[in-house]
Amino acid sequence: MISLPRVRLALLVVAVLVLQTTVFSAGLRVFGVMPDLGLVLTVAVAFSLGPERGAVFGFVTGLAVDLFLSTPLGVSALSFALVGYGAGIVAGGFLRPSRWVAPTMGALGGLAGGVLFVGIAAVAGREDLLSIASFRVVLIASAYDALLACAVFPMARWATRMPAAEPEAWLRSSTVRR
Amino acid sequence: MVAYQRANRRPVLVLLVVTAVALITLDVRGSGPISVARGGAHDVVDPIARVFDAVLSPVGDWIDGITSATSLKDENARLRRRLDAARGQQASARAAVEENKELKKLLDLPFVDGANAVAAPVVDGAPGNFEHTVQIGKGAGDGVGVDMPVVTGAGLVGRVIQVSRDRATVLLVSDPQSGVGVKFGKTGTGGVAKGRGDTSTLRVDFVDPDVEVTKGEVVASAGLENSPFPAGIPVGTVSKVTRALGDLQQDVLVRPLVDFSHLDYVKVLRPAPGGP
Repeated sequence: MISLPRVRLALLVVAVLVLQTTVFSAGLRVFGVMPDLGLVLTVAVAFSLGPERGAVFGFVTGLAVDLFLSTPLGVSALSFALVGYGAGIVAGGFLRPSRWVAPTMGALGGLAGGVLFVGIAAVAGREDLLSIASFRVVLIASAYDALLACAVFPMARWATRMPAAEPEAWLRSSTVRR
Repeated sequence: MVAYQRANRRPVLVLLVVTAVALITLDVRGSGPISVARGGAHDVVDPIARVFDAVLSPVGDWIDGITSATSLKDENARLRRRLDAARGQQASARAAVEENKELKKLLDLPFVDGANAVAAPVVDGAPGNFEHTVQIGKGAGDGVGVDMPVVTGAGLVGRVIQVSRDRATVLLVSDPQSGVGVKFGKTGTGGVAKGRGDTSTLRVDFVDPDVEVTKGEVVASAGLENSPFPAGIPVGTVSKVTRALGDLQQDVLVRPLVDFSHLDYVKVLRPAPGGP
C-alpha cells in the first residue's frame, strides 16, 4: 500500500521538476546560475528520514532530473544519492534543531552535490566541465540553494510527517539514526 | 550495534551506486529505451510546464532584471556613447547592408528562404547549469526530429537532440558537446567548430597551419558527409587567430553571429522531401 508520505514526496518531486524546467530555467537565475532544487529537497528529506532513505530518495529525484538534462542519465542520480546519504549521517549528529540548520545544510549539500556532479560527469566523458567556470557556478548555486532550503525544509518535514494511523509501518523500514 | 546498523545501510548505497553506474554506461553507449524515457518524461511534464511558464515567467524576468541591474546601467551608458558614433556611421551602414546581401548570395544560404523550415518559439532555457540548450515550442507533432539543424536569420543556433510531442531540446553550438564542420569564407579551408562552455566564442580545430585565416572572416557550415548541418549556414566571424611555428594546426576563435542569450524565435530546418 502506498503511504501518504510517499504520495506527498512524489508530488514534491513533480513540483521540483516543473519549477526547475520552467521558472528557474527561463529566468529565475542569479548571475546566470539556477539553484538545484532537487538537491535541496534531497538534503531536506535525508535530514528527516536518515541516510538510507535519503539516498534512495536522492537517487529517484536525481534520476527524474536526469531525464531533462543532456548529461548521461544517472549522473544526477548518483550525486544526489551520495549527498542524501551524507546529509542523513550529518543530520544524525544534530542534537537539537536550530534556525541555521536548513541554510547550512542547503549550502553544504549544494556544494557537495555540485562538485560530485561535475566529477562524475567528467568521468562519464564530460571533461570540459572540469573548469574554474564550473566551480564558480557551483559556488553561486550552493548560495542559492541555502536560501531556498529555508522554504524547502518545512515542506520536506510536512511531506515526511508520519500519519497517526500508521506510525509503526512507516518506522519499521526506516533507518535508525546513530 | 552502531557498527551493525552502518553495515546494514551499505548494501542499499552500493546497489544505488551500481545501478547509477550501469545507467550512465548504457546512456554513454547510446541506448534507445533511455531516449524514449526522456521523451516520455517531457510529454508528462510539458502540459504542466506550459501553465507555469504562462503564469510565472514575468516573475522570473523581474528577478533576472534585479540581479543584472548594475550591468544594465553600465551597458546603458556604453550604448549611449555608441549611439552617437553609430549615427555617423549610418551612411556607411547602408553600404554594408548592400554588401551583406551580396555576401549572402555568395554564401548560398538555403535557410534564408525558409522553404522547408518550421518556425518555433524558444520557451525555456537549459534545465541545468552545465549545459547550453534551449527548449522550443514545437515537437514531433510539428515534424521536428532529432539532429535537425536550427537557425535564426543571423546564422546557426544548433541542432535538435531530444524531441517530445510538443517540444524539442536544441543543443546550442556553444555547448562543448557540439561540433560543426565549418569552412572559412575566403579560402574555403575547413575545420571543426566546438563550443567552449561560454556563449561568446567557439574554437575551430584542425585548421591547416599553412592557410591564411584573417580576423573578421566569415565562417559557415561545411555540409560534410553525415553532418546534420547543410552547407552554407553562417556560424560566426573569426575573432582571434594564433599560429605558432611548428604547430600542426592554427588556434582559431570564432564569435558566433547568433546572440544565444536573446533567442525568441528560431527555425528548424527539415530535410527536403525525398532528400537525403
